[in-house]
Amino acid sequence: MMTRLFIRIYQYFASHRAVWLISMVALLGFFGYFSTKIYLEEDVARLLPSSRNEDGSIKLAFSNLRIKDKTFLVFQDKDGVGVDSLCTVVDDFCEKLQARDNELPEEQRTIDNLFSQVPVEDLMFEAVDYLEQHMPNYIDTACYASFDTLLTEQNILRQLLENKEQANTMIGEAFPELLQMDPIGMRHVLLDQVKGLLTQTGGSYKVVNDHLFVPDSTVAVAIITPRFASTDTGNGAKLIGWINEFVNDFAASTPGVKICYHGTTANGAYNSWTLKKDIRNNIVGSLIVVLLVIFICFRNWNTIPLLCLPVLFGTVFGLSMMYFIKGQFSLLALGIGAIVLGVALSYVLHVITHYKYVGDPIQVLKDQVKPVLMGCITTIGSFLGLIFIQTDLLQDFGLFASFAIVGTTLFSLIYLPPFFNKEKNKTNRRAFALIDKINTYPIDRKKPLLLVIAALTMVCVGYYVVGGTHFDADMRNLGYFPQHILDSEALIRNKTFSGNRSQYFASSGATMEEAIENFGIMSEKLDSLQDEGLVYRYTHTSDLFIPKRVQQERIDAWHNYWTEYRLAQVRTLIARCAPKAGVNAAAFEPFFEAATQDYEPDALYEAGIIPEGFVSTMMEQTYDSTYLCFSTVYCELDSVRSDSTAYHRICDAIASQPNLMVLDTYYYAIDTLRQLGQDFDVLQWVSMAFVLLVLLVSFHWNMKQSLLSFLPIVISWIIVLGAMNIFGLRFNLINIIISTFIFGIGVDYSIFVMNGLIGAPEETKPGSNRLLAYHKTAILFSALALIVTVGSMNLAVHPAIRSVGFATLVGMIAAVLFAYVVEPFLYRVIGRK
Amino acid sequence: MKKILFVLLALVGSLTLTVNQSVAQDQNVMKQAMAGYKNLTSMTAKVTKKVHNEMVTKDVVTTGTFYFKKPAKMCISTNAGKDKLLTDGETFTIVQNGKASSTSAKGNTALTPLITALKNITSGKEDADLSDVADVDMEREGDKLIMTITPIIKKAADRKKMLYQSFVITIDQKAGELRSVRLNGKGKNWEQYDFSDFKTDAKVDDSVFVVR
Repeated sequence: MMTRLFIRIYQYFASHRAVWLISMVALLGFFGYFSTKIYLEEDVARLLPSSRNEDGSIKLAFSNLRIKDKTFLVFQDKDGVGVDSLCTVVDDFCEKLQARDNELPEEQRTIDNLFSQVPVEDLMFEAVDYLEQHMPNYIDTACYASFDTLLTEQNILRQLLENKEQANTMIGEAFPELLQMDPIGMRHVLLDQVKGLLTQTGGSYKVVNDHLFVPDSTVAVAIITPRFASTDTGNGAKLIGWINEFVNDFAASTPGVKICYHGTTANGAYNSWTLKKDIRNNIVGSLIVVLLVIFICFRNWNTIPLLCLPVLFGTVFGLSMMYFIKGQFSLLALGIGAIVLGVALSYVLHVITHYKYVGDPIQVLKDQVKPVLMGCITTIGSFLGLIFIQTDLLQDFGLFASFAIVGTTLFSLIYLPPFFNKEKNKTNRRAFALIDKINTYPIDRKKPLLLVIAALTMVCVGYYVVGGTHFDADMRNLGYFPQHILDSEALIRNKTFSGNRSQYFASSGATMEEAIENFGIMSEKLDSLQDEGLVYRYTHTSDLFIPKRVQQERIDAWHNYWTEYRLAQVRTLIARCAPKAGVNAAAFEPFFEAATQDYEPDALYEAGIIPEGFVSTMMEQTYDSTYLCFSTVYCELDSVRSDSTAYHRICDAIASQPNLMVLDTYYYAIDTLRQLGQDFDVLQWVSMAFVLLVLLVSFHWNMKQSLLSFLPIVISWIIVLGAMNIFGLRFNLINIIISTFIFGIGVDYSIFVMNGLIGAPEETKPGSNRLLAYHKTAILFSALALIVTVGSMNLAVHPAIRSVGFATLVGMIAAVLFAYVVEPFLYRVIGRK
Repeated sequence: MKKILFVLLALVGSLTLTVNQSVAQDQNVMKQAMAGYKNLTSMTAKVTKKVHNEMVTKDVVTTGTFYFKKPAKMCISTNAGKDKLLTDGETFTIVQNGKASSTSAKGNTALTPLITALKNITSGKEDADLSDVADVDMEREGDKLIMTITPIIKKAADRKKMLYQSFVITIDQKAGELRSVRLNGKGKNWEQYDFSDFKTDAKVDDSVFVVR
């Protein structure tokens, strides 16, 4: 029925050329236009998992985190130049970098904040001034019990003497008002309260000469907060390009200081450059070689355009459908999508190769519609299986691949045949004679070859049965990291290593206040984990950024405490003790003013006192406007990643709470990969069942033909799994895609060969089955295209692309061998019985 | 520490001021008053340091010696040499109870306003305009010439960092000698250095400018 439909369409277009041409151009224009509208993401960060609630809803997509986008500039004192010189280099470098950015118009600038200095003195003055205005807001209500013990003559005399002594110290001279506001010694109680905060804020760095240094003062650090996400590799490349330029300049002018850098912006830029280079050099290069070979064999000038046109249509159709559905697409998925285009090219090759032989478009459709559509449906079935895997990139890829295959197939069967011109149908006779010679060679009757294939298959099956499938959970292995970036990371890691493991945890909220409130829940959890000995220490960010609700409670507590009676009591005690201590009682009037004045809750993070670059290491508003409040948690260093380590137990305790999370993609990747493993198993069997069903329906429930078509698919897939084990390779979130691809191409080859085997009269002598020969020729061209393209991926620099290469190559070769050798052999053997 | 640094800065300013005769209104008077210092190569004087703190009933008084040697080496040594304040014109070193620490005038935001004011005064320009950085007030009380410099700090944030609201230099016009430098701190606190018994071209050993 489908064959008749496509033949009728062909006949209509053949007699209405204008309709054919206009409709084709219109469709190409329509889908081409919308395919250009899609936003292409250029970073593997899209693979970052999401932290999820127990009900599966997303807490935070890691790609939305701003803190991960920071770039660390690292200045190492190589030749003992000293702290002062290092600071000068830091300042000069940052000044030049900032100046370069400032040359651009506001909307094109890349740097949001360049944090290289901590002006301690300025900070101190601002902080004291702020504290004077908001003192009660920072006094925990629990402190008032201690205040009661201060209101004695003995204590106040002691305190007044202490104030007198401190009056002539640096602090006393700089901030006399602090002493005058505290005649009873409240500061001692408050210091106990904030001890944790004072010792644990700042993490592994220290401030020297107003600059950030590692503990041994040999490395200074500056932190760039970009205006863009690290996935925006266009801006990333611009910024990293400038940094590289200045690094080279400074290497010449100040050889004693080594400057390097690291961070996701740099990773994103280098990944993008490498991906583009690999796609350009390896994949496009190999495709050109393949097309050249095909051109030489097919001779017609229009063969290459005719080959490319359906693939082009399939691509723009796939991209525009992705635009309609999602609006964006990963460049990485598009790179790997080259494989899909290989599958798509295979269908076109079948149609064109068949035409080269028979020279009649209607005969081509009669012979090709059924196997091409079967191949298309089964391939789509396997690609659509990716939709059930909970990773955006794989879901996108599955959708894109499915649409691209549909587009290419329909174009090949509807719009391609009217291009064929019987009179101009040319072939390279020598090349086709050689191909025919290969096709007619009775390779399926060569027992040694069959034995070798059987032995290799057994070995691979054995490795698969024993070893199973393995997943690489470390997504860093998917990214490309140049050596100088790895060196920079290692330098900071070694210089700041405290012997413990440290990790960012976060509380989230729809507002910053909510995030800080939720931090309180995290604090309680971490405190109890600290009591259990799992947490060594953590940064008490909410002691610095106190929720406004709590501030109001504290203000009320302050006013409730300083009753007229208590104030009168203090006044009397001061009057009595001041002469003995040698101080003026009147000088403490600021205390009484502070006790009675009005206070308001205030957001310290908005007060502009703490440098923005520093605040952004403690809290942030993510790209999707979620507010986060961070804490660095220190625990035992886990040399082996296991669920039973202190770190994992802390993560489990925190991540199980709503609005709390650990900013560790690996922790969530484990869950994702566990899920992926389960999904993957289901995917394999669902896809196989689907393919078997399609085969059964297509072969009219003929079990022999269906199983013979199905067997090579299963075996070639198991060979891939076994070969992965033999060579110690693991599946990752990228090369898992190849499974569906190998599945799809194996199905296609198998279907075409089976179609050839059953669609022609009984073979009287080897090679006498012409339909099989036509299909084999097309398979040969298709396999050549795919093996060369996929083989070139093995030479890629980017690990994600390279990881696809090996498994795909093995799967491809296995699929071709089984289609060429094993399937005809089994058909002949079983057919005889 | 910085409080004492300002004393020294004030001294530098006042001494150089006299040589450069830069305050427009009374420059001739100042020039005449300090003419004795113009060609000196070294100098010593007795110093009495008085620190007044609003909170404390009794001012703290210490004594010591002031040393000057061309081109710009200065040292105030008090408290039997335990406390010292030294400068070579750019770097300032303070020794408190034997502990030394240094700071540079450059980049020190707290010092900047006063330094700017002083630099303008001591720039040697006859028409030095201080209106942007400081209010300068000159008055005479008998033989005393009193100059009050109040830095103008436009930014509120910078004003908070100002340790001193103003400083006052007193010159004995008749004797042609610097009498005192007073720094008005926060609140009602102040610190004053009184100079007496000047000996010009006295022998000053370089070792007094060395921090051990």
